[in-house]
Amino acid sequence: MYKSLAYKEWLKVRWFFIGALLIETVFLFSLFINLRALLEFNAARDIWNSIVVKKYVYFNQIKFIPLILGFMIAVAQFYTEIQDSKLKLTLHLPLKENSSLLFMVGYGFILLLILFSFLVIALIIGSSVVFPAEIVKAMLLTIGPWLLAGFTVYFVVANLFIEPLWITRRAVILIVGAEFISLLLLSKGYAAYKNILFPLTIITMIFGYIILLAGFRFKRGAK
Amino acid sequence: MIITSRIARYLLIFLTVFILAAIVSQYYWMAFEKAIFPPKVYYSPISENFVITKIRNRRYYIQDKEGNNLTRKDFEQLLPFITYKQLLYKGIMPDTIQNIPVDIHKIRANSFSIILKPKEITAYHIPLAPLIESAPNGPDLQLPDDMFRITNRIEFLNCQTNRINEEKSKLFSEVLTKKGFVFPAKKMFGNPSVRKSFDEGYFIIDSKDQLFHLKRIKNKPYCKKITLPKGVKIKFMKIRELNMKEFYGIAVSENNRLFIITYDNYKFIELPSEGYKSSEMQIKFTGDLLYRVLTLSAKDSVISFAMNKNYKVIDNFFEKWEGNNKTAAGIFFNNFFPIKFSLTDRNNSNVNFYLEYNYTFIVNIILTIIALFVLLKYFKRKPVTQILDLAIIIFTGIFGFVAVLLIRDEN
Repeated sequence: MYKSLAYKEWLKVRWFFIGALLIETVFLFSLFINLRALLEFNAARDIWNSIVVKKYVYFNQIKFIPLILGFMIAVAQFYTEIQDSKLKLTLHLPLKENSSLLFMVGYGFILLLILFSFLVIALIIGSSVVFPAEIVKAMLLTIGPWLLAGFTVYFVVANLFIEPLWITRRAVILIVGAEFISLLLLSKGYAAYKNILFPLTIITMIFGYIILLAGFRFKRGAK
Repeated sequence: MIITSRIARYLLIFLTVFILAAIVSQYYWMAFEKAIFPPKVYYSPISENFVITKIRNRRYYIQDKEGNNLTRKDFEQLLPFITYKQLLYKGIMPDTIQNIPVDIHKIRANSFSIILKPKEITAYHIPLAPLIESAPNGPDLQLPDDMFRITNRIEFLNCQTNRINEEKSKLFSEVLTKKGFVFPAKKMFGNPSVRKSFDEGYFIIDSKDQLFHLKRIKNKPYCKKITLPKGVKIKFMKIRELNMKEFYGIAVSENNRLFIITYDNYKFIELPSEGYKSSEMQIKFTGDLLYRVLTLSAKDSVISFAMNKNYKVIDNFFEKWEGNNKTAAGIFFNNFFPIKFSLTDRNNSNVNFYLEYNYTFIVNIILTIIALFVLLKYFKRKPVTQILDLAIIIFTGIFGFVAVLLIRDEN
């Protein structure tokens, strides 16, 4: 059953997934070509100095990429599901309660994990060529909350699609989600979130768990 | 399913409470916060009294310590070491100040102003730094082509190739080890800028909390172990190369004591630090030909010490004012909203959960009673199942009230 469910999810998201990979590749290219030009036309010591002393964030272009990817995958997976309440069929598959919905959300989560890993690994490799480990580590601590924002967007948008109740629930999820995402994207320089990355990760996962509540009401057909 | 949805509901309520608190804290204070500009404190060599400028109720005041109002003209004439340009322009610069003949070059060389904000102390630094050549061939300082890190030895990384310069790393590591440095370094403080007239390198704290001074002179290491005063653990140092060459910078200790480290064989001179808290107070340390003024300002008070050139306190000035908590908006906030929540703080450069909880008893109780009424009458629930909901409102007041009533239990 899960195998066919996975196949169904793949059919829905495959073009979006490939599109997401393309977007990442384009932005990574632009980032590294830009970096190459910077290093070509300036002394390397000036670039290092502006990063270390003046806290210039050389990878700022990719700040909103996780958001875009999270949104894309959520739309791909759940937009078709809510047309003519198709999700109801999925939820009535002979599986344990919640399992099919959890499976779908988990599937999307893993796709995002793959997309973000690609992004992070490319950034690590690209940065390590020209910068020492200290700068790479600062880069990772800085993009951490951006990636969490990407997962949160995915969970929140999925939730908005599944949720049948307009004012009370959708509005609440939208406001709470949007504010949380904006709190993850404050421009505070390198590694500003380092002390609270773990609790923020837990909160992000809570957004994933809350989707079950929407699924529960969807199944019941709440209006 | 019922259990799952109950747990999910309470998690959502929990998030909603804090997000509402964050939104309200931010926009409420954006709308009602009154800007408070701490007074600026100077010490006049003419009247031998403080001169204070401040903004109160959108009006600008210049006063002396006793609170007498002064004019702009008085201000200029009382502080010739600051306003010398203006006085020269008007042709009213005195010939002597306290029997010292006025020499513009001397005034300039002996004036300084150093500000240390709490944010600087908490800021994250990428643990790399350029070691500038302190004895350059020309008149200007230049950024080196490498940066150093201090792990289990000191390593110089060439910026162009991103590779370690073994020869230089060995040379510097050996000297540090010989001086008793225990790797790795805990913290290092310097002023990595080339827009200054000379360079004093870095003050480095090793893993045993010992302090070292490291400089690069003619590409050779200069390293000196510095004896710390007894019981002092350094938290932060602000290094500033001043032309007068009296001290290297300001040091803040773990227990909020303040020192300057002098050129006189790294002698520590303690500055007055009564009531100083590095996490919330700004230091302003200024000096001229005759006096030093140290001003410690918090969000609702300021204390200034005037010292002579031997760092003996000769006078002090203290002022306290009412902060935003005492305005009508502040009183309303504190009695109506139980949680003040933000991820940022003006005095800290790190993002964190900055939470202030104050129990708004009356409002919480009223809201709980309203909620009880609403839940029983409109949602027709047995009171027993609502106890947790009501408990949330009792503790989180208005935020819990909104969250509980918006996010209803639907079992």
